[in-house]
Amino acid sequence: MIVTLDYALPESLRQLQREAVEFAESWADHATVTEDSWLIGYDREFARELGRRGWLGMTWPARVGGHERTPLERFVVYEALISHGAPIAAAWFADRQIGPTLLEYGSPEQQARWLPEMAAGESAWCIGISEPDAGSDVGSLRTRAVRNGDDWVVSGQKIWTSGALHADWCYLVARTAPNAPKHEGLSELVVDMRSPGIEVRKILDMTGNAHFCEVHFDKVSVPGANLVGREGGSFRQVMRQLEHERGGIDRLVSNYRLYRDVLASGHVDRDDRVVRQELAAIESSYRIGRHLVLRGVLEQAPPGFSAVTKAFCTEHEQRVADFSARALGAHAMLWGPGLGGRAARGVCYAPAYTVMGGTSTILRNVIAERILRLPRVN
Amino acid sequence: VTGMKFAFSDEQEELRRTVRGLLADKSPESEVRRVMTTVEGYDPKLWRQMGEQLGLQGLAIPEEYGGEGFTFLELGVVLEEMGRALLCAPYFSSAVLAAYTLLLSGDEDAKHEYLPALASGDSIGTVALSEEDGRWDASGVRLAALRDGEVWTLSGTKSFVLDGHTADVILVAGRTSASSGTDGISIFAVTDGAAGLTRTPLATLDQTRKQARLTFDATPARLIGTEGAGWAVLSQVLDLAAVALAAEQVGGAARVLEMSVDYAKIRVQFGRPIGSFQAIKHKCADMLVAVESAKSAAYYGLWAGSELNDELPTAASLAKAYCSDAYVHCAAENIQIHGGVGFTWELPAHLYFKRAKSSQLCFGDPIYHRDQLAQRIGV
Repeated sequence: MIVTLDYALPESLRQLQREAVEFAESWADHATVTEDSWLIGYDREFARELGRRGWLGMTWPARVGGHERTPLERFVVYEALISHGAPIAAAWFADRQIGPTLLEYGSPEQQARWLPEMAAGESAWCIGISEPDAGSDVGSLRTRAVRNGDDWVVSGQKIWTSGALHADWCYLVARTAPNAPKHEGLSELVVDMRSPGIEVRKILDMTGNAHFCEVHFDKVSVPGANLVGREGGSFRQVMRQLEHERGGIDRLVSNYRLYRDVLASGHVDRDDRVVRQELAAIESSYRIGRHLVLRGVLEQAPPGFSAVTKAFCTEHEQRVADFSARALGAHAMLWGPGLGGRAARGVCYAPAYTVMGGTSTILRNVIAERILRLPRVN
Repeated sequence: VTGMKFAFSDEQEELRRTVRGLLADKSPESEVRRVMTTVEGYDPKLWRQMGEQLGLQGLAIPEEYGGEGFTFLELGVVLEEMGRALLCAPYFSSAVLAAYTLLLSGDEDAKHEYLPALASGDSIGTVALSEEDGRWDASGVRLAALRDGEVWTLSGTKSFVLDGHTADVILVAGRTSASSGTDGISIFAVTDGAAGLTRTPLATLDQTRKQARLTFDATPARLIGTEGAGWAVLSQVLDLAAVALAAEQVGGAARVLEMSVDYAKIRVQFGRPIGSFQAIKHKCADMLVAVESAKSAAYYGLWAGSELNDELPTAASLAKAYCSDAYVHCAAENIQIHGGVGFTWELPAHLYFKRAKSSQLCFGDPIYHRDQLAQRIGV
């Protein structure tokens, strides 16, 4: 066992890394997106192929269809896939956070029911947390779930729900105890997206893409067996889930492929002193960000550390977008399919990095209050 | 699958606790303030204790040369603690610059002659590289070395020499032929009292780290290693020095973050602790992000340095550029969070700010190192 600092990726993982890169590149021709593929590269066939390769639920136990591999192996695979633009979005939310949440809080029956299909790449999930009046303030959620015999009846509205249009399941946070203190009345329900009473409306984002949605629930019936974890215990569970959402490699390499292609394009003047400064800054924050992610992956980081990682890494991604557009100059004024257009789109996507999954503003509150223990004022 | 570790071992953390305890006891702020006003800039009694009780000066020197035989990683832990405590001592000069120059020189005679005394702390060493123009690269080395039979003499001036006025052994970079750039540079040892050596202590921005100007007038010197092959050694020493300073910077940055957070919890304005205001929280949060990312960069450098592997040149410039800026940022924010009292002589915030600024500029500033990094990565 290695007991001291070691920054080298073990040689035994290089082969896996090469495999994942080759696989991603083999799909590049029919991928519709090249950047932000973990979020908008939606391809059900690709998800099934990931399942066939054993690259979904990689770290989960075999009893639920997992492959009992190490977090580092999973990191290696997804770093390669995402930085090469592989369209993993149909499988990603399940693999990244819903699966781990079910493993931590779900009953054995719930795990047996949902995890094997996730690991096979057969089910797509969306996450129903944010609402129009509850963005950063998760405790203010108003979507209600009311008991009706053994079932729950859900009414309310979710927003910014990525992938809702095609999802099979929604992992929903709803208020089950309207009179409890606001952080204590929330519970988690798995909702079948084909249930009567659900309406999904696409929202166009500022790049013209429509991956995220409004989801309206009008007296949607949900079986009681679909409540995950403790009734009224969602706030803690959600905070835990957000750790999975915030600390991963997807937040560092969303636009890595754009950066690589810009470097290879001949548009980067490496003899220019200012350009060299920018390149060095990007290469530095890439390496540092990767180490921060790995500290989380290998559980060598304190609780709440994912907020540090996401705050740092998303700013790196914004720097990459900015650099790419300036390197391409006039070409990035055009909204075409070429590299210039990709850079233009990249610049427009970049503001979202420090918003989705927790704004950098709220992350700084998390860091200040949960890690530094600065006083909260209500 | 084993591999990848981003934290120190239990033994290394134990070393950290020991050093932190020693410095809290023997080099509290009051001692730092006392020692920094002396010309020597260190406390000989504490220096002896560090050597006798803990073997700190020889920590990374192999046992065959009288050291403890640990690695650059353990040295990094110690440097981080010294940076945190603003210890006034020629440790960086002696245990990093001089010791590694000798270790990497390939000169067995010189290693056996000088390293045991450096390891015990009986002797202090330093490296004299930069000259009046303040460059840290090979082109800044102009001091002339002349050979007459078996005798070498040095003539010229070195400046910004850390602890140059107190060192017993000065390892000097000189030119042994009418060359430029990295060719024709050799390393020489000059000892205390050598003929023609004049040492002038310099007033420094950072009073906790002393510097001197050294003039050599046909000063007899001993060639270390191979004539003309000095730069290969020195460039690796410079990489290790960059990482070592980065480790100190991490310690200092973490300390000023603690000062800020502690103060923000007790200072009350508008009827509430200022740490409850989001403006202050976010400053502190940004400092924490800077500290954690700087740790990642510095430890990356320590790992590469401990293995002297191919990644060292990259990791060294990355660490020095990043940690320098992170420390300056944190030290400056610490003053802002403290308000008026932050600007006073009484509060130690200025001592950290001055160390941060000075070490940012020492051995190449961030712009220099980012340029090096771009070149070394070859993007």
